[in-house]
Amino acid sequence: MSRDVTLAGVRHAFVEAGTGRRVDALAGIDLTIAAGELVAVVGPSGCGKTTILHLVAGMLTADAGEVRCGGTPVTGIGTDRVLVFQDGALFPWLTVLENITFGPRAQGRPLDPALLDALGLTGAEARYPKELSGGMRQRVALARALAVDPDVLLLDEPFGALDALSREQLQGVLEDAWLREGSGRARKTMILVTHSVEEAVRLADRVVVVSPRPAVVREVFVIDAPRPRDVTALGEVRRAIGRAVREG
Amino acid sequence: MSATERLAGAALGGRRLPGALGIAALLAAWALAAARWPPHVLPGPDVVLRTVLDERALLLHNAARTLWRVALGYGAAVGIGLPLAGLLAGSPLADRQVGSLLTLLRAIPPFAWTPILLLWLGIGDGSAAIIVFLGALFPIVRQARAGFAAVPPALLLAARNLGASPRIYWIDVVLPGAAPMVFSGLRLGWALAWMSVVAAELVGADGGLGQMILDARNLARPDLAIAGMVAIGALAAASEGLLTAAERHTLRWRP
Amino acid sequence: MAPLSPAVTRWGLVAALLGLWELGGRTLVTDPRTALFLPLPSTIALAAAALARDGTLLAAIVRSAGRVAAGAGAAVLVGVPVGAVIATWPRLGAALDAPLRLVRPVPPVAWVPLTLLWFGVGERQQLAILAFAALLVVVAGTTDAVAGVPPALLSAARNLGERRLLLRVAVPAALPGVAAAVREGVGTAWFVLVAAEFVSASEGLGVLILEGRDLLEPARTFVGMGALAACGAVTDLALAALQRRWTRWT
Repeated sequence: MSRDVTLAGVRHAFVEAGTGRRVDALAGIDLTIAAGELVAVVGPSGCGKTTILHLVAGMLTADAGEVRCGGTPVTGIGTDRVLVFQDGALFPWLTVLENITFGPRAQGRPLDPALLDALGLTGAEARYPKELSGGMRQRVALARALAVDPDVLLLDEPFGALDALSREQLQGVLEDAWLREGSGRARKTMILVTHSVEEAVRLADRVVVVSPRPAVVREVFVIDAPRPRDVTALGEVRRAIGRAVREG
Repeated sequence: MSATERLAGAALGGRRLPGALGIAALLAAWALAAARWPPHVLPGPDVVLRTVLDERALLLHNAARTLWRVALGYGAAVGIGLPLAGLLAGSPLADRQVGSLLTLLRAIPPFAWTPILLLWLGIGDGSAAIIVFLGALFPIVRQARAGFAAVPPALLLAARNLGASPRIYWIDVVLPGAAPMVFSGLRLGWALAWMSVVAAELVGADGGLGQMILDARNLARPDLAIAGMVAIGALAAASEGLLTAAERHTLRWRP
Repeated sequence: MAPLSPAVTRWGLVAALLGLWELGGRTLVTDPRTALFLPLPSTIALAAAALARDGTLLAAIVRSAGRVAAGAGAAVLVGVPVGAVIATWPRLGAALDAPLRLVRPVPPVAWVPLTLLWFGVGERQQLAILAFAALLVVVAGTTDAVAGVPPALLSAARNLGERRLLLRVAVPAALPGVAAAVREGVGTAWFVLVAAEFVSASEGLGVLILEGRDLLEPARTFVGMGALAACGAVTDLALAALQRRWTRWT
C-alpha cells in the first residue's frame, strides 16, 4: 500500500556556492499527491523542482512549511521514499546485479526475481556500469529503486540525458512497471520531475506547473485519458501546459 | 617529426629496441669505466653478477629483514592512516585541528627522527619500522582524505536512501568510491617507505640491506654494495608491480 | 556557542598538545634523566634562541640550504632538458629513459655509501647524492609534463605557421607540470639531505641533529629537526607561490 504526499506552505532557500548569496528556491509550495497517483512536475530549468524531490526524500529540511508522507512528517532519508537521480547515480564499482540488490541486501531481504526481466536487464547482471549505454544505466537505476519496494518513487529527470528513442522506450518501461502492481493504492505514488511536456502528458495523472524561482505552483492540469496514451491526440492540453510553463 | 627523426626511427624501429640499446649503452659505459679503475673502487657488471650469485644467502637474509621492517611500518601506516583519513574527511573540526598537526609533522623528513628514535628505542626493527611508518603515513592520509571527499555526493545519498547501514556505507560505498585516490596514496607511501627503510638502516639498524651496503663500503667491497642496491631495486620494483597489479584489478570498474 | 576564531580551530590541538607536554614534563616527571630523552618545549625554545644568537643555527641552515639549492639546481639544469627530450623524441627518448627506469627503483639514499667511496667525504659527495636524487624525480615529472601537452595544441600551432613550436607552444603548456616536478625535486633533495648529512657528518642541520645526541643536549636535536622542517616548508611554499605566478593562466 503506498502513501500520499503533501507539501503545505513549503519554503526553502539555499546558499549559492560561489557568491554566498541566499537564493529563495521555493516560496510557498502547496501540493497534494494522492496515494498511487503519478504526478509530473514541470517548469523552467533551475526552478526548484529538484529541491521539491529532495525535500520529500528527506535529503533536505524545509526552512518553513510541512512535508508529510502518509500523514506523518518527513524527518529524514528512508527506504520508503526512494529517489532516482538524474544520471542514475549507479555505484560504478558494482555490477548491475550488485547495484540492484544493494537495497535488499542492506535490509536482509531477497530480490524479487521478476524485476530484472521486467526491466529488460536479464543477461546484463555481471556487467559494470561503464559498459552500459545510457538507456541501460537508467533501467538499472530504476530497478535498484524498485528493488526496495518504496511507497513513494521520486524521479529527477530520469530520461533527460537519453536519446529520443531510448527515452520513449524507458517511459514505457516505467509505466509498465508502475501499472503492473495493480490499481489505485496498490501502485506506488510517483513524482516525476521532467522538462518534457510530452513525457508528462504521456505518463502523469496530473501535471503540476511550477513557476521560476522563487517557485510556487502555477497551475495543475488533470490528464484523464486512458492508458497507454497517444500523445498526438493530447495536443491541446500539451500546448496549454507549454504556455503555462513559458509564461512562468 | 623531422627528417632525422624519421630516419632514426626507421633504423631503430619501435621503442623496445632503443630502450634495450640504451640499457646496453649504460652497461657498456659501466664496463669501460670499471676497466680503468681497480675492482675495489668500481667493479664491473660481471663482478657484480658473480657477487650476487655467490652471496645470495646473505642477500636473501638481509632482504628478509628489510622487508619485515617495511611491512611492519607500512602496515601500521595503512592501518592507522586510512581510518584517520576517514575521520578527517568526516569531521571538519578534526580536519582542521588534526590536519594542522599533520602538516607540521609532515614537514620533518622522517629520517630526521632517527637520532631521537635511536635514543628512545635503540637500534633495531622498532626504530626502522617507525621511520617507515612516518615516511608512508602522510601521503597515505593525504590521498585517502582527498579520495573520501571526492566520492560523488549523489552516490552517498543514494546509499543512505537505499537503507545502507553504517558498515555498508563505509565499506561498500565510501571506500570503493575513494579507492582510486587511496591507491595513489598507497603507491606513493610504498615508495617513500622503501626510501625510509634504507635511510634508517644506513644509520642505525642491525642487519638489513641498507646496513649491508654501508658495511660493504667500509670493507671496501663495492661489488657487494652494488649487489645490495640491485637487490633493493629489484624488491622495490617487484613489490610496486604487485601493488599496481592489485590496483588494476580492484579498479577494473573504472571507465 | 560563539564561533571560535579560525586560528584557534586550526592550531588549538597543537597548542593544547604543547601545553600538555610542558605541564606534564614539569609536574608529572620526577626523574631528571627523562630530560635527556624528551626535553620540554620551553627548553627547546631556549636552546633555539641560544643557537640563533651565537650564529650556529644560521650557519647550519645556510650550509644545508646551500646544498639543497646546489643539488636541486644541478638536477633541474640537467633534468628538465633530458625529460623534455625523452618526451619529444620517442626513440631517442626510449634509449635515454630505459636506463633511468632501471635505476629508479633503487632509493637514492642507497647510493650514499658508494658515493662516499668514490667522492670521499666532502661537498662533492653531498652534491652528487642530492643532485642524483632530485634528478630522477625531475626527469620523470618533466617527461610527464611535456608528454602531456595535448598534440592538438601542437598541430594547431603548426597549422597557424608557428615554426619554433617547441619554444612558443610546448614550453608554456608544459610549464605547470615542470614547475610541479621541480618542487618535487627540491622536496626529494630535502628528504635525502638528512640521510646524506648523517652518514658523512659534514656541517649543517643534520650535524646539528646528531650533535644533540653526541653532546647529550637533546634540545639541540629538536631544534635541528624543527629548523629542517621549517626550511623545507618555506622552500616549498616559496616554490608553490612561484609556480602559481608562472601558471596564472591555468
